[in-house]
Amino acid sequence: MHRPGFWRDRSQNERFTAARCLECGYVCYSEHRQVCKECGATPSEWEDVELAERGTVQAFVVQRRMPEEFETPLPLAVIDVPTTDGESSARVYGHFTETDPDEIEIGMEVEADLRRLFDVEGLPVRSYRFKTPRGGAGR
Amino acid sequence: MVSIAGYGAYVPLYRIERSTIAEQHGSYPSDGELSVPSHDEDHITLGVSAAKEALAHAGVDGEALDAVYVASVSDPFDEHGLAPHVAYAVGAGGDVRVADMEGSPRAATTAVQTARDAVETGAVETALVVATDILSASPGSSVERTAGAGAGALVLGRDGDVADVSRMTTETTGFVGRFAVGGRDAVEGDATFNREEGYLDAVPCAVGRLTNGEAPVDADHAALPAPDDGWGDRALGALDIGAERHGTFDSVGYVGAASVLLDGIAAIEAADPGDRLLLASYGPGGSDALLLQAADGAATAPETTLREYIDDKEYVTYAKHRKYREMAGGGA
Repeated sequence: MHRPGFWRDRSQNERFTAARCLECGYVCYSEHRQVCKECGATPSEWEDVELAERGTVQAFVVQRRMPEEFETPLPLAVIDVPTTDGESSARVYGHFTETDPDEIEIGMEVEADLRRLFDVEGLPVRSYRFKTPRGGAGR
Repeated sequence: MVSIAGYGAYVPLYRIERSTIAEQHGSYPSDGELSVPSHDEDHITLGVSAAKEALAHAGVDGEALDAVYVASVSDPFDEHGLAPHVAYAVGAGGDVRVADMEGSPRAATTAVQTARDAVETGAVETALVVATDILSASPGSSVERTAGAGAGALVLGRDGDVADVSRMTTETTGFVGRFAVGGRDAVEGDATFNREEGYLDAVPCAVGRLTNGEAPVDADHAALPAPDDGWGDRALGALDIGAERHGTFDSVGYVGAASVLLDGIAAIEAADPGDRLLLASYGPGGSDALLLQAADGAATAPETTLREYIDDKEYVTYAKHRKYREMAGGGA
């Protein structure tokens, strides 16, 4: 069955929905939102915004030791992802998939794709991972 | 008339050559290659990728969907479902109709037929049909040399400009050739008997009904997937149809329910506006045939075409193919 946390985060995980602070417009993705970390509004009020499925790598590290369900070496990156309305962007911390760590560069464009992260009691938990955009032939 | 407003394909990045598999087991090598799902892919992620491609191609927002039908022959769950999760991920509202069609590769055309009927009656304005499969294959089995993974999707409505759905027919025989017991390797049986008594009975019957059995079907392109690549040409020969057959058997493999949509999309991508396309599914129970007429929108490609998904690939070793396949739910 859905565990409460995964059920509540389903829109972030499966629809790549972020939250925009109604006070200052800051967009945050995948965080608990009692306080806006940009303007400090408490309690903060938010609206849902959709993220585009393309972003730009700002920084990355490569993890070599991870729990069994993660394939290593696993690049983890900070990626700026614009909202679909183009008004702002969220700074997203995400996993890569299908990408050789040597190919990752700061400033590269990446594509977000729904993937299965792990299972909880046999029930898959899916969320977005990043990769080199598909469509270019001859890797 | 009910029409296709958009289409989308998804083929995983990884490939293994059939000869690599044969070499591993000391068996006779054959041509072509198979798509291999990534370790973090499953039926739903594949289906969602194809569905998003199709919705973007149709210019339809997920919220506008009235129905989402998902077909598969390899869904690992007995109780869980595919369609509600695909529908949610693409942004459909809570009032969306959903159904999973399973049990035969024919399920893909059952889904198209159900969507078409619903649009025709006016009960549904816009429907999304998805077929997604990761076929199971154990190491060294004969089905390991054909098992592929992929998904295809169509958006159906009343004013789609990609193709008109001119006619749909069906032939239910009850014949069972290839079959599979939940999660295990498919049992293939006698190929000649299955082809002659099963495939070449059901498919020509279903296709013949498109013209009430009178003249041969007039088609420029055809998609006739089967678990064996040679069967489609035999059906065209038996029916005296000169259409060019498009297939993904050599580049993706056999993909169960997804094959008829992937091959159909290959046909649409090759078609010019005005061309006629014949699609026929086949599986345990019979065959459904579908006649399409490409319209002006057929000339506009989706953001990433099937051809691009096929060409953009990375080969994996036999060991990685096994590991990824097992993680993605196609291990058997």
